[in-house]
Amino acid sequence: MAGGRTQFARGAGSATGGTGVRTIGVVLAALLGDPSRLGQPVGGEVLDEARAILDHAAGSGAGSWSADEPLRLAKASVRGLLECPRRSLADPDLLDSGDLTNIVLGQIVDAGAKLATLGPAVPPTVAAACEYLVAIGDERVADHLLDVGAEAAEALLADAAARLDPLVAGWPATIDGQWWPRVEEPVRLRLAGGAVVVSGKLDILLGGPPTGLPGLVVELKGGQWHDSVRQDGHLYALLVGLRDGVAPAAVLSIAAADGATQLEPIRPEVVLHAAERVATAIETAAAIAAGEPARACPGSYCAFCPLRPGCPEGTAAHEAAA
Amino acid sequence: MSPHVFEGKRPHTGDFPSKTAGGAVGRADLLRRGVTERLEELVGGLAADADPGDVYVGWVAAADAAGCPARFRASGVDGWGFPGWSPALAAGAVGRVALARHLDRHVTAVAASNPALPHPLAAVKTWMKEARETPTSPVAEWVTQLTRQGDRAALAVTASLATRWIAGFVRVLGWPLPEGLVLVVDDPGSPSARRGTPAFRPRLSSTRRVAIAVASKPDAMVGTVAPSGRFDVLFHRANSSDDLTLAERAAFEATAASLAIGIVPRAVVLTVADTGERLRFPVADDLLERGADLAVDVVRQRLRASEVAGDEYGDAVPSSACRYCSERETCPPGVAWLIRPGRRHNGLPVLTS
Repeated sequence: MAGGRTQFARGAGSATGGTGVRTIGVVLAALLGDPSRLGQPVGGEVLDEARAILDHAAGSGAGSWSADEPLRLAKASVRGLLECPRRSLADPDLLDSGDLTNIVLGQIVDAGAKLATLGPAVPPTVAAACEYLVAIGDERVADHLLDVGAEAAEALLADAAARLDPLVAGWPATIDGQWWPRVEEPVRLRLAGGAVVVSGKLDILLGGPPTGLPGLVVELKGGQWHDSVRQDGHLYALLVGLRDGVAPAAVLSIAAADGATQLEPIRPEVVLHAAERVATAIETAAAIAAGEPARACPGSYCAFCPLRPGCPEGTAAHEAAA
Repeated sequence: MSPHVFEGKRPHTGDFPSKTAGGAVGRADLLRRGVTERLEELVGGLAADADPGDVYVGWVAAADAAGCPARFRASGVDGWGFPGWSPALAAGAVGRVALARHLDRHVTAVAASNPALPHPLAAVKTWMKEARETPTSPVAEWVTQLTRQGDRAALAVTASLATRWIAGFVRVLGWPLPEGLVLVVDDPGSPSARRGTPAFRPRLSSTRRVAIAVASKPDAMVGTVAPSGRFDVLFHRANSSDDLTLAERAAFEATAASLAIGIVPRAVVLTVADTGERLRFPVADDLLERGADLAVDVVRQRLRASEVAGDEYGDAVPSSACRYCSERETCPPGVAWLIRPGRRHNGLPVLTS
């Protein structure tokens, strides 16, 4: 197995910066060139055990939901229920969309890497990535670039290019068709007859059944590395494993802003841990749906939580941090 | 309407043409008569000054009309008609024809016992290249047009979605594909595929002329389409929603396919890429009845839309779709639903403070 966690030097986000993001392509190319480095994927009994953990959690809490009105979980809501159940209930309309510029940067880098995976003759540019986003019906980047004005848009596109160009320059020129390169692969798990639904959308999926090659999930983050990237990768590995009957052998996560890369083998413990996290999220959600008050668990997210004014724990934590 | 896991390969049991009331042809005849009578009644009651235009009844319209009649009526001509090709709409058509070409070359032509697994992205790119040289179907003409316009982004997205379509289809159905499976494509001349069946167009005796077409567009047929009814109609979905919708889809397609073909198929098979499910719904009478209700209701709502002078929201069915509905600010049930106390989002209560 090629490495557990490989954290590249930060600073690769500038055009003349480090070589981390270039190295990512080398890592990917090496894995595709020698699939045995990915190791043996998890299947059979481990996935059965993971499924049993989830079935038990969903079965015990499913009375609150039905196939018509299910509990819908995805990576952010699972994380939210585990971090701070109270904050996870915040009205979506009140949630700050965050640093839009960073989100836009992330979308452009994400789109560019997906285009590179689809194998154009030349590495995709920022302009091509923006056009790709419009073509998939996502107008947010185009709208944002118009909103911020010409000068800011130019600076943003330059920043995006500084992240994207080295990333795609090192991307494998062509990914052999036998890997079945797929982008934005949807995956969904229905539990308790559809009363609980857990879903996700993988940035890039390579290999896996029925290709005869081990599965490799590639997750792209346009921003800097944060540890929830790992948890999201674990969740995706679990969902793909339960769908396909065999888990991806590894998840390769890439943060383009700082060049951080992690190749994480999906061991049995990882699959079971991911299942336990989802089970805990379901149980927490079931308690809330049954009328129990949602616990507040203060954290750094309190700084931008819309519920903080009415949350004594969050207010205290925020004031203490300030 | 309980689905069963699709078993795929079945022994050939021969065809037994049956035009009796209980046979596949007899049941389809009965269904056609029943649906025609119901449509006749609806059209006969249409206001004299109403002009509903041509009414196309497909699954999208059926799902929309059943989901919220008020929203469906309000969607207007733009919402009822074919919106034109887009990468998302073209994905299935491109995926099917590209897979059919692969089958033509690597399976059917060589009668391979161990046929080569397709490489979805390569299969799609190969087809796109050929289509640009000699477009022989509407979707091929659209791809050619994109090429002429230099719209590489749309081509890339189309290739990506079609690739995912093939990958999901093959992954869920298994490889080699089930015996007797034939893809349904618009492209002529593929020995691995067949053309779709024209829509059912009921002949109404009413003096009012309303052109109604009930259509079913399966992705594949499994078994020989013959009066015995020993064939399945298969629909592949890249994304699922919930079980209820899958059952409704099966009901509509069972009825629409029976009406169009004139034979009731043995089963409707739904394959779902994101969950990996293969669901098989035997076509029992209750499934056909539900499907007929769905189809007739599309016509009912279209006729009503042509008669109603102003907005009418009495039969609105509020749901999470209200958040994106064009009527969300004027539809009282929708407005009430969106601001209701104790509302839920994704199955959980929503806190505003």
